[in-house]
Amino acid sequence: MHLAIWTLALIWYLDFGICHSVGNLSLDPFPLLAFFQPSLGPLLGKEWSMELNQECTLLQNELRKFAQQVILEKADEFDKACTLPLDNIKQLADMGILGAIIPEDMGGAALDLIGFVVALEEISKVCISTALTIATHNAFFAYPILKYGNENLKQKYLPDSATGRIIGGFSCADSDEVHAERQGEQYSLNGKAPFVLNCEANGPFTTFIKGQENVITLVVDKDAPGIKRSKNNNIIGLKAAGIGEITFENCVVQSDTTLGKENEGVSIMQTTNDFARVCLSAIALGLSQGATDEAIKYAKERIQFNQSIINFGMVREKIAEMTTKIEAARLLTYNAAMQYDAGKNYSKAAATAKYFAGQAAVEIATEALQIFGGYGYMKDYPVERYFRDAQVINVLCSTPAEEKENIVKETIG
Amino acid sequence: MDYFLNDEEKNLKAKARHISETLVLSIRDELDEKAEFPAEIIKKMAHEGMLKIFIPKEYGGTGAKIMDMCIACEEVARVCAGVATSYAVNALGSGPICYFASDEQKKRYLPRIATGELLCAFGLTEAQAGSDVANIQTTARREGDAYLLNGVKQFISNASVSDIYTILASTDKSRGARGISAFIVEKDMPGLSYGKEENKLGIRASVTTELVFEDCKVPKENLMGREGMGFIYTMRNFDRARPGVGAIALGIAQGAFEEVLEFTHKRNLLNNQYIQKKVADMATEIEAARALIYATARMIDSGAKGFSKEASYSKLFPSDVAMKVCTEAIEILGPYGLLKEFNIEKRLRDAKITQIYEGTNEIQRAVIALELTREMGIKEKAKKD
Repeated sequence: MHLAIWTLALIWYLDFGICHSVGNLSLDPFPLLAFFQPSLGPLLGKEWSMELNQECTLLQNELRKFAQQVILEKADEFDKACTLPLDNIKQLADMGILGAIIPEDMGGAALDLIGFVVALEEISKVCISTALTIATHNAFFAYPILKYGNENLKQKYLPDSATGRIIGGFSCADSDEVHAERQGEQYSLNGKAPFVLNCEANGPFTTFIKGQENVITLVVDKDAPGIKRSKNNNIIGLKAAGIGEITFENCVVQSDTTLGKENEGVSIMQTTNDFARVCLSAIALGLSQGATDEAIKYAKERIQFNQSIINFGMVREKIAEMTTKIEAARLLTYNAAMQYDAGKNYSKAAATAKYFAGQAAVEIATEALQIFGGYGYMKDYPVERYFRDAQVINVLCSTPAEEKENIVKETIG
Repeated sequence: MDYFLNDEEKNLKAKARHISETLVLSIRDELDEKAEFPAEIIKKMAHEGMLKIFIPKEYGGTGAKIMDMCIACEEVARVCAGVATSYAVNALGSGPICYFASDEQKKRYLPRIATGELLCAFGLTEAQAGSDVANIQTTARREGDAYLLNGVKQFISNASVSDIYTILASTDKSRGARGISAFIVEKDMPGLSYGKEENKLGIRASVTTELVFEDCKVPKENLMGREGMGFIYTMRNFDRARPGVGAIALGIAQGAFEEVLEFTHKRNLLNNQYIQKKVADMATEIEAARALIYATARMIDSGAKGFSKEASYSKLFPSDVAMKVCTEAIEILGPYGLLKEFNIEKRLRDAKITQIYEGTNEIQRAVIALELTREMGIKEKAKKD
């Protein structure tokens, strides 16, 4: 009997070791063994958890070090100055993170989505703006081009994206905000797209224009005629992410920059949003973890009533709630990424992850600030920045109500 | 809901709304951006008699009714909670004078506070004494006919713009909370200066500064009541001020709610059941908060003896409602809610302070639980007897 258990344990251990992707339960060729894992974990000297493979763990460690040693130092400064953290982005480009999801033959790092998620989580723990810049570039810009762009578009944009020579942006507007008129082999764009991500980065951008029935999906070049960018500093948070507006005035875009086939726009938008949702969940998750880490550190140091406030039940209750939400958000987010990596339909997983992680980020940042009390309300501490940034992440891509609607649709079929 | 306000209350509400909408609305974003004290607005409010409402009739006021204060605070905060804070701090600072000062002290200060000639702040919090109020390190040492104050008061609203302060300092450290005394300090008294000015997330139309005391000489006539009573005065002052803080939170929630209604109505979203659920809950919770605040205010104004628990209810609940309403308002408006021009994001930043200042909501819960424990003790004793 003992031998049998040890054999199972060995198989399980190897299973994690050799699995080329990640030790995802759903990829587990020995699903029955899942039952034994909680008890076998300690025997093997490790707690059970959703395990990351070695490649992911290395990436996680490397980015954690970089985030804590480099990004952290200036995160508040960039926020106050409302400027893009270009230094961070350049160094992240050197580490290959700007080409995270781009194939190796185009100079990218070709990470699994779980690898990119882990990277975003680590960056977002200290600077949510830097994380959003990277996520937009990969998920909203490179991803749809990679998946739906013609060979020209791929060659034109992806190798430069991989090195970070260009930072791609993304705009999404209703057709009453931006009017697109087809004239032969061209589109003429007029109007204003609010909420352009990576607007300030001055790169090319993907643009989705949502009509009644179809969505026009184009890639607009950096120097396209008739576009005017203006940065929006009137946003509550993510002030260093360079979010802005783009005004189109008779902006002519060649129709061969269209992504996908005619009438494929709706599904391109959905597919892109699914992918982006997982990335935004990872950012929300990192934000939540970062805010909680700060709150715990503060609660340990802060003395009131002759003791550290971490001893007080009302603080402990908050930390328990925050921790539980983080764990749940992490499982949902990693699960969505792993489903994608396994080639499964992950729309529902992505929507549940984004919905939960976004809400959790808002709740957690609010409570983290509360633990800091009056100090948390002052700009001397980073927690108010997390609080502001969380509001943005929670409604980007879809609002919680829209996310719920996506979940229901996927669930009831 | 009709609360059957009397004519005077209705007039006050109308006046507060008029001032807010004509004077505050147009410059609130500028005040928020520049983090500026709204000196002109406070002057105008004083001119309109709004600083009289928290001063007793005998001293030039209109009766110091908590209900009046709640009505005024809600109306001003509906437009800008920063301005409402700058206004309400005068009541917090002058409260101890109204209730606990000698007749001579009252005559000296209150009439001029009522007219707005003297602005007034309250100095309690210190770096190491936030929730732990009794831990204040500022000392007051008697020397001849004066007290010498030493220490630093932190996060003091209106500190750098006020003329007089109610300051809490320890006259006998060995007695802890019972060694704390209250003083009326004038801004020109030697040894008083301003320290760091804070850069805040919200209520930026209210300035928050350190008050630094270096052998600050305060005449002994400016001791309030007796030595060692400062802590008790503070707690009683908070009991009377907390419904007003609740009313500021209520005003924030009401203002945000009106923006949500306008936005959703304009875009025909009110027939969406996701939205219906949210706005129905918001409306209900806001009304519950208002009813709770008014009930507490009426109770205090009717001469109730103890009302700590009720005062805490009416700060705790409305501030949580304000945060919930503003957070959900952003979700309903979506990305628009994040933008300054849709008038929600500032309210959310402002709302957060209402869960923190004048006793964090954790402290309110502790106060309520303590009162409930005390009541249980009394019941138990009665049963035994």
